[in-house]
Amino acid sequence: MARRVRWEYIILAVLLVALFWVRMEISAGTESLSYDSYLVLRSVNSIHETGSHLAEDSLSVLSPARVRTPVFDYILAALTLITPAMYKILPNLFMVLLLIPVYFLARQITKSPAASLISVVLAGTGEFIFSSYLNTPSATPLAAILLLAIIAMLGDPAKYLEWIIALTLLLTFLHPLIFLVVLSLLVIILLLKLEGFGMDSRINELFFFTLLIAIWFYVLIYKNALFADGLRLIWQNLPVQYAASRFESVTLLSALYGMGVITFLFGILGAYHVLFESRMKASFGVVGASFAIGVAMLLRLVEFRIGMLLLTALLSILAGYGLLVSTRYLRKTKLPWAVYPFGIFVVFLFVFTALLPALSAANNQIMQAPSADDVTAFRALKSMVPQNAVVLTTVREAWAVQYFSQRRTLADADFLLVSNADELVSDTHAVYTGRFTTGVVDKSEKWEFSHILFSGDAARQYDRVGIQITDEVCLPSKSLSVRAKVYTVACRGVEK
Amino acid sequence: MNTRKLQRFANRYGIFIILALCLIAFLIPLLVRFAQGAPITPRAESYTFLRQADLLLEGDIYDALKGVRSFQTPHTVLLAGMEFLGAAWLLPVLIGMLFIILLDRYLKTLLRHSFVRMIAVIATILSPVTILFATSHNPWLLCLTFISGALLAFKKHRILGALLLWLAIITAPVLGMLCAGCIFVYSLARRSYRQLVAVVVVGIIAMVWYWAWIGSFTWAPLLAKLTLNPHIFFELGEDMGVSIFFIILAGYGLFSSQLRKKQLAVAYLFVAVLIAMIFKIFTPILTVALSVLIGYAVADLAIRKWDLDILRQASLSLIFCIGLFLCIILIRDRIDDIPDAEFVESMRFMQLQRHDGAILSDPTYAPMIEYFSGRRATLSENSEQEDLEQALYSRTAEPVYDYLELTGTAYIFMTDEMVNARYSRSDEGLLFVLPNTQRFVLIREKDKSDLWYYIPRQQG
Repeated sequence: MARRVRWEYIILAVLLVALFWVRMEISAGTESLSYDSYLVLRSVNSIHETGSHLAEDSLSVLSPARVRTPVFDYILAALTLITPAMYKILPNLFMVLLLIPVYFLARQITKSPAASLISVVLAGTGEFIFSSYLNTPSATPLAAILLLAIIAMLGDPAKYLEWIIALTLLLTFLHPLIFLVVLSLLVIILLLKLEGFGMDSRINELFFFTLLIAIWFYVLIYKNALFADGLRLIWQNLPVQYAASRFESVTLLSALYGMGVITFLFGILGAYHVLFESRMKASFGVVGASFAIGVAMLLRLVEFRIGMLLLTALLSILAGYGLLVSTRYLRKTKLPWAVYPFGIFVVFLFVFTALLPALSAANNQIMQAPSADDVTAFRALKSMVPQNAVVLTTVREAWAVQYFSQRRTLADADFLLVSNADELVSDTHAVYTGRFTTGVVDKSEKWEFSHILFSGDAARQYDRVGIQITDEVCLPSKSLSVRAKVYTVACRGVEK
Repeated sequence: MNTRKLQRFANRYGIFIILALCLIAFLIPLLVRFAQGAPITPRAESYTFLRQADLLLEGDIYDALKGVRSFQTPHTVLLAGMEFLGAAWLLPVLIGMLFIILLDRYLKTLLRHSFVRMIAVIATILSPVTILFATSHNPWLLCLTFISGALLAFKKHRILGALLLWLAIITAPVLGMLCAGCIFVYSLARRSYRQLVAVVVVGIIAMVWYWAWIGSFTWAPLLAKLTLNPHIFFELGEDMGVSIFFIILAGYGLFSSQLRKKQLAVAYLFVAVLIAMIFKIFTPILTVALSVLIGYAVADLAIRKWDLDILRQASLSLIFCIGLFLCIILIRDRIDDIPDAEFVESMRFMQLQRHDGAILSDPTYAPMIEYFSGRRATLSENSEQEDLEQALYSRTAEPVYDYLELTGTAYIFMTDEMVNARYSRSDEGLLFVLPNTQRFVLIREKDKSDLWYYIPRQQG
């Protein structure tokens, strides 16, 4: 007898397909990938050409050693052999697949397919999930899926033991998010103890193993960076101004705005209910992980965007449960019909505080990608500057410049093993905003760059159309495209 | 595996495994350095002691280069003896092996389970601080060896124990006194009052002897330098640190072991970590304490069944890999350590130069410069910050000239390592002054180092 396909799975599949389609439509708004993507692209190209990832980058002057886990690059390299469209398909697919563990976690807690589907909708349309990785091939979406899948399987570790080990190993090799799994396991152990469930030795064993393998693997990979940068490695040795924005601390307002009012408020309600009212052991995985990520974000140990993405997914699960509890409560009151206006109110709030901001944020993300004019300029750079030139660019666009122009850039977003990152960034800023040729020439001698690129990204950042200096003798400029130009540093400083 | 099997394994093969590991971890770095043509003994501070041993062999009381009296400790006497035999490089290895054997014997009196003991000793061998000490010349490992001997001897021959403790303190006063303090606390806890009195008396005699002999030793400068330095992790770049894996495994060992007073053990461990943060030299004691707990951890993993037993087996394999990884990293670090062949070549070159004068370089190089070139190093580890500022970081030529002439410096020796460690910009301090003034002449340029001659102003 054929097995019956359950209706909720059909709805889930429809939801996922619809969401994937919307994401792909938005992502098609630009031909380019985001600025952050081009290092991965070069690594994938290197795999295609040489069989090994980009470990030594000849186009980076200050950080030629690319210290990172290359597993995702290899996965991407294999899949892009099918079609280069995978660069866009894969991140969107993973972001949608992320909702499957969300659904099963919600099912574990709510035992209600409808509430679980609501969780999926809340998660899928949360600003940080919906607007992230639209055109950025990155290991983070896949890592997030693995993290949520591990948490989902923690409900019955004995049954899913092999799967948990396999996923833990994969996540370890893929992304430092494994440390959030370790932290989550620790919080789960504490929660079980605090709530009087005693010690679950299986969770303890899993915690010990995960802690050991995670630390070992990352010490192995980042040994030199750890020796050189110490604990600054956690913040990727970013200069202060970049670290402050990437590792922003979570606040009540940022959480409300980033997740949407419904997810945040009903998520908190759900967490309170599972911890103190129903004392549901099955929910400790989700609550523990939410708490661990929240604490890591408060301590600025995890990137704000990644932290919010995971918190949105986890709180959506709890929000589904919170909504279920609220409707059940309303049905028990003397005004059971109040559940309908309540539902309408929730939908209204959802549309205005989650859906519309998410759509707007997604469009903004697409606008942030390099424009066609910028790409033309980067390509033109290849023929305009000599092979051995070092081009000063904005930090953000450096990887894209390296990819399209095949020319060396001074600074890029990878600051690991760069000993004077803060000084470099402030000097770059000084060149773009300086008023005197001597200042620019001094910096050029100090950092040994020969050209300055002023592109659309620099125009956006500094709100002008070129550097402030007009000196056709020392800093002659050439147009690369409609908006972008390249300056050549033609003078040398005075011998002191 | 059951307990009896493990015991039998440890009893039968333990000592061979320990000795083999000692040879691998302590000897291989030195042999590879020899094969590479670098001086066999790594680390700059080794050359302070080698120079003292040289002076002892020559019968000099005064160090003519520094213009101070040279003081000999049991370590320098031993080193001079080995140098006389032409095998000074072997001394740390021998002391290291003796320390490990004595530690194994002492742990035998404390731990009933021989497998725990074996793992504890292996962990001690593979610790960063032991490999560091057992490959370079320093008095601390000898001090620890005397301490291990004293602990063993206190069981039966109290006078021998007291003598060894005295030797430990005069070998390395700070570490010796810290160890004496630990033995004092241990004797107090065990209510072994005779041992306690012996420790106090020996401590006082050793310090008085030290004052009488050295004369200049006071606690005040030492105490003034003490600060709480949280960087004790090897993985974060602290050479003489504790590996993070030691802390994790020791934590597991502490909670899985059958220790009777766990809270007290946690308190002791916490105090030990705090002391190690204040006195870096206390790290070996902390390492041994952690190693014992690692012994408990590995024994527990080997014996006890887990609910998720596959994870237990995976964890054991992982611990083996971590041990291997640590061993390789530590050996490689010692192989790559200073001085290398190029450094020694440059120093020999300087020995042959006709101009008299000191050599300005990184303060950490001072012992090596003095040992290999026979010239005085302008800056040493004890140099004032003001001197460093004027000599290394000034971008104005005149103060640099003043300082070089005041200190009688003739040469400036710059290495890539020094430039990376000292300067964050390519136009900072000496990096700017050397190529941009007329008084410095580049007399030797090698792959990783440059040698400049300074023309004094009175020479025009």
